[in-house]
Amino acid sequence: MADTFGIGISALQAYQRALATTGQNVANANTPGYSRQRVVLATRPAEFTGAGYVGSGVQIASIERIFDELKATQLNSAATGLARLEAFAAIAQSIGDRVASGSSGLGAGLDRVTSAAEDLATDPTSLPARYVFLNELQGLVNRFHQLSAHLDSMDQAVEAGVRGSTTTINTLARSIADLNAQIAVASSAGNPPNDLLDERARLLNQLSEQVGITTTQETNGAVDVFVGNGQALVIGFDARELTLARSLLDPQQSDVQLGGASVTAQLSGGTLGGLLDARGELIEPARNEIGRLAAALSLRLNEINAQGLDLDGVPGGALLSAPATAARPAADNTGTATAAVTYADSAQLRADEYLLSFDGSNYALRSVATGAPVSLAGSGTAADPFVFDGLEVVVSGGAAAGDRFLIQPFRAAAGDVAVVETDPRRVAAAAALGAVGDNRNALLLAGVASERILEGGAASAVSVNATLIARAGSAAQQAELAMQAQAAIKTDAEAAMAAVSGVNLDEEAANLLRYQQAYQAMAQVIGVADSLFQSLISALRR
Amino acid sequence: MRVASFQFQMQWLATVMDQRAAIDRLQLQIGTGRRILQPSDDPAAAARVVELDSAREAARQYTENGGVVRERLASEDSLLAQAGNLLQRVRERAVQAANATTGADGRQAIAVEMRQSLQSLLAIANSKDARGEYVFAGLRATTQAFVGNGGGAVYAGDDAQRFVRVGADQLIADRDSGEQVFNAIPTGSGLVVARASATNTGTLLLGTRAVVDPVAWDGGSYTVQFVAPDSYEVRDAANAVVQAGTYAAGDSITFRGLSLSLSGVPAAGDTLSAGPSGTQSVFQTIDRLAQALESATPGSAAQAATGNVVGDSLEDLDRALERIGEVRAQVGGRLQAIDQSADLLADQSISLTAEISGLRDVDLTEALSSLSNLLTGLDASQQAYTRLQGLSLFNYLR
Repeated sequence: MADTFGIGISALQAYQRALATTGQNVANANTPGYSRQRVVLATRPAEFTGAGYVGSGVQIASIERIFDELKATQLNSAATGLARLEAFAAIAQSIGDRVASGSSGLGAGLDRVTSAAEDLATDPTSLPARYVFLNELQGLVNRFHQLSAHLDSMDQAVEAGVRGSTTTINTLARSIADLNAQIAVASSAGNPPNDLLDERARLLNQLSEQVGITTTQETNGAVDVFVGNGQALVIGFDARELTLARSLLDPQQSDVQLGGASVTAQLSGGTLGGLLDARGELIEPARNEIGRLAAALSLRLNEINAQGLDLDGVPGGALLSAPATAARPAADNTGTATAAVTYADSAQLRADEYLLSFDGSNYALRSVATGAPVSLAGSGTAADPFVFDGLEVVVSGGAAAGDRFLIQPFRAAAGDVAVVETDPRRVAAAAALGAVGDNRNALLLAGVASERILEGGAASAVSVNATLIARAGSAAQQAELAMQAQAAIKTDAEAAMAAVSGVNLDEEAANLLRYQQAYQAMAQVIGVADSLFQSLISALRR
Repeated sequence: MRVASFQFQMQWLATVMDQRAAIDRLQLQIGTGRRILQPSDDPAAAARVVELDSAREAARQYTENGGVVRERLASEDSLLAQAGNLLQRVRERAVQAANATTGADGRQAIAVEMRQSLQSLLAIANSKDARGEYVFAGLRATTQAFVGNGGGAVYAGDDAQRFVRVGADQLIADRDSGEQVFNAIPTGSGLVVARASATNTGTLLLGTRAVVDPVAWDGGSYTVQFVAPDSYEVRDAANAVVQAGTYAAGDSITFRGLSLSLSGVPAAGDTLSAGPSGTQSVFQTIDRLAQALESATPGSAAQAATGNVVGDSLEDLDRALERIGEVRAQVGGRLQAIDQSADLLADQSISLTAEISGLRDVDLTEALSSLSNLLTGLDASQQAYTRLQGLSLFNYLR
């Protein structure tokens, strides 16, 4: 009899737990990161009697968390990819739409300058036509400025995003390390701390959205987290911090460091990886391309204007300011050398930046965009400058071994270009002295946009702009398509994950019924046992 | 496969959001009439549209340039027509003056009229266009083309033309220089010029001067000297006698392929000169003619001298008229070229516009039918959702 009571009570307790677990599942059906739980029932150890072993009821072996480590890893990886593409595509879209815009892009500006120069060529003595030409030139310059400002704002958005992302990563890393400690303590009692594990999985997923990670499981239940090429972010109960420093080569850019060493080049994936990729693959190439166009146009316009004569028969001056170039010594250079870069041949210019390095006896140059070495002619002195890709570089002062210089021929070209000629009489429309009605130089000015002044004489400003538009547009399109594809992958990964861990309310309702019926049945068993016991008591009282 | 309830809802929501986005986009396309809302929608087409826009803008500009040049050429042509009429009138009066029936008073009157014509012609040569540029000053558009009075007017412009782009590879001169139109007009026949000396004392009158044998004509300078009224010598530039002969009134003298028909009787020592054509301004031509008429004195020798100048001048005036005719023909040719170019540009513009529209604009029929499909789809998925939401086992647990 006592056995029946015992069995009944053990079962009531077990089914109460089971009902509670079902309730917990239903309650958390909409909680992100919640993994459904299941009670694992087991028989209690049987008692030995002369007749053999007699069962002694049921017990809860454990409350199991239904979770698939592999699917979670797949989801994290999908989230990393999607977050990267989201950050990347937003910038690609923004640049693409701005660069390629028909009404506010460079193409319309070039057309307007050409038209104004044609009007000037039709009417070279007309002051209004000269005013209009200078105004349209200013309009084109404004478009360059707007594009440059737009790229600057993208740069700032990247900087802000990188700062925000590293802060988030540091917070998450610390929380994960803390959870590691709690989980290690809780697990030592024997049963898995399901809710802590869920919480850590959720944080790992959030971290994956910020940056690509790899994880390894320790025996004590802790998870180690690595970024980049295996740089440790969380080891056991300790988290390390990502810090931001100014880049040694380019102080306008921030450099992500882990434990004092730069990891910017190693990080990939996630919002942070997407932002860094966008900076290197979208913003900088666009800036260099636009800067090169501004530089080549101003060099050629100035050249044409200088070879003609103005309304007073005086040789024309510069129409646009000379484009600014930059060659910056790295912040950690030990030598005192400085470098200066000038344009030598605009047809040979390439939209790139260069890293010039000194090994103690020789200089070497490589392209920043491709990393490929660029062959250097000359010795770098003022008399015999380094010559490459239409540029001349003069290094003066003493360079020490290991010194580096970042050469940015076009960084500021589009943002700094300005119309320096303000006097419409000074526009050189004429080619011959005393011939104010001469329009031959004006015809040359009108032809600048379609003159093949770039790519070794193969491309004009108009065609370079068209290429720029096509490139920026397709970068945006590809990023968008890749993002959609990645979003589908992530949705699949989420579905696969949810198929294992998610709560299905029908299933829980069925469980509820099942456990309720079992509970009610066991209550009946206790009732029967009680009535048997009552029968016995009343029999003895008589 | 198990389906988590939460996931089911999220997926349905994502589907509906996608449908909403597609409908929104289509609505925007229909509203703006543009298929390409952002360049990234179709980068290749967007880049092509920018190029086509540029080409269309160039076509517009060339058409505008053509319009300006057309106006300029038309006004130049009307100036040239006026100049031609004036010269024609001068020529007629010169013929009249040469007529023996015209008396001294008549000649004076004609000379006065010629002076007036000369002033009018000079005014034409110095005309300005609507923008204040001298039409016939070449590229020195702000310099008065001819400076000085009457026959002394000197050309101050240059012999150059301004070319304006009226097509991608088509440059058209928008005017002609005064040098070509008025200043450097060939004298004589354009090949050879012959003159009777102004100091002749006989009544020798130089008639037709023609190169009858172009092969024999060597372009040298020659002097015909009458050693006696009935005999002459032809000497070359080195004063060597190249031909000698006798002369009777009405004879022609022919040497080196050049034939000079003569009338009247020379005095001994009278000379004729012959040589290659030079150039002279049309103003000088009229001035010389007027001067000859003004200074006409009675007497047969003086009459012969006047007659000789009139004869020279008629030839020179013909050259000037020819030149104006040639320039007008060129102007007409250029006007025609501009019209052809304008037609071509108009065609180009139409096809560019069509191409741009094809690349950029939305096909409304297609867009509207897609929109109705999407709306049907959205409606269906909303209905499906509400029905599936009702299918929960919890609904039966009462």
